[in-house]
Amino acid sequence: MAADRGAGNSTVLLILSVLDQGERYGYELIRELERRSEKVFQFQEGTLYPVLHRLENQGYVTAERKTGENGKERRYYRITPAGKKQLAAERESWARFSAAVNRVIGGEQHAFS
Amino acid sequence: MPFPEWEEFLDKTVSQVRFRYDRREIRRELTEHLEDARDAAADRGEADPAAAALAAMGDPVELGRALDREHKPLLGWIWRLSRWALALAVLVSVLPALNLGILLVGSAWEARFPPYTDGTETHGEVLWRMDLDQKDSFYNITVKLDELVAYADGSYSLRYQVRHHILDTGIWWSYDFPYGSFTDLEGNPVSGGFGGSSGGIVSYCETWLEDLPPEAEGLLIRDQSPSGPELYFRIEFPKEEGAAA
Repeated sequence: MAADRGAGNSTVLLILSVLDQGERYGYELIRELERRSEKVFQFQEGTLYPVLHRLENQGYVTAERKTGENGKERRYYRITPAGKKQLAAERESWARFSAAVNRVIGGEQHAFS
Repeated sequence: MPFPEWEEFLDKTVSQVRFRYDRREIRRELTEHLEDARDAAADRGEADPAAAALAAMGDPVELGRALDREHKPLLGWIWRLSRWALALAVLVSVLPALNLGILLVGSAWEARFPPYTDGTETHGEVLWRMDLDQKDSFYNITVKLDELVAYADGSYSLRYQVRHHILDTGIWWSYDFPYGSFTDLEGNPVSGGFGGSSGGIVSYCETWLEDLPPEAEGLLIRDQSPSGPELYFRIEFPKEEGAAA
C-alpha cells in the first residue's frame, strides 16, 4: 500500500519539491524538473497542468496571475502550508518505497539516491 | 496567435472541459506555455519552433479529459454560486446597517429638536410645565414621559417618547395610550386624544388631555394588556402651580 502510494504520487512529490523552493509557473516548473533530473524526467508537457490544477483543488498549491521579473504575465503556483505537510508525507513515503525496492533488488542500498 | 495548429490543439483540448467557464483561463495558460516553449525552441535554433513547442505538449484530447476531471461542472458551479452567494450576503448585510445608520442619525437629530407642538395659539398661555423623567416598558417598547404642560384653557399636553429596542427589526410602530388609560388620582376617567408622532426607532408623541377636573392633584396612566404586561405611571402635580412654571 505505502509502496503503491509512493510510486503513484511521484509526480506530486516532484512538483511539490520544486514549488517548496519558491513559486513557479508551469513552463518554468517543467524545465526545472528536467534540469534537476538531468533529463531523466521528460514527459508530455501538457500533462503537468491537470496535475497542477488537481493540487490546487486539493489546497496544496494556490495559483495567482502576475507579472514576473521577466516582464511576462503568467499563472504562478505557490505551495500552501497544507502542501508542505503533504510534501513531508510524500517524502517519507518515497523514502520507504525506495528503501524497500533497494532491499528487494539487493546490493547497494543507495543505488538510486 | 498566428499558428492555426496551435488553435486547433487548444480547441480540441478545451472542448473536452465541460465546465465552460474555466475554458478561457485554461486556454490562456496553455497558450502561454506554448509561447515559452516556442521561444526556447527558437533560441535552440530549431527550424520550426512553433511546431516543436506543439509537439512537446502531447495529445489534446487526452489532456482535455484530464483537465475536465479537475474542472468538474458540479464543483465549478458550487464554487461560482458560493461566490455569488457571498456577494449577495455582503450586500444584504450592508444595506440594513446603512438603513439603521440613517435612522439613527435621524433619531439623534430629532432628540436635539423634539417635534412637539406649541399649543399656545389654541390653548392659551402655558400655566406651568413639569419635567417628567419616568420610564416604563412592555413588549418591545419603552415609553419615556418627557414633560407635562398645563395651558390656560385647562387642557394638558403630555409629551412622551416611544423607544424601540435597537435590535428590534420589526416595524417600529408608534404608540398611543388607548382610551381609558388616563384617570386622576382618585380614579375618575380623563379622556385623552392622541396628538401625533413621528415614526422611527424613537418616536415623539403628544397626548392632549381636555377634561381633567380643576382640583385634580395628579394623573394616573395605566395601559394593561389582556395578556398581563402593563404600562403604569403616576404623576403628581406641583402643589403650588405657579411655583413649578
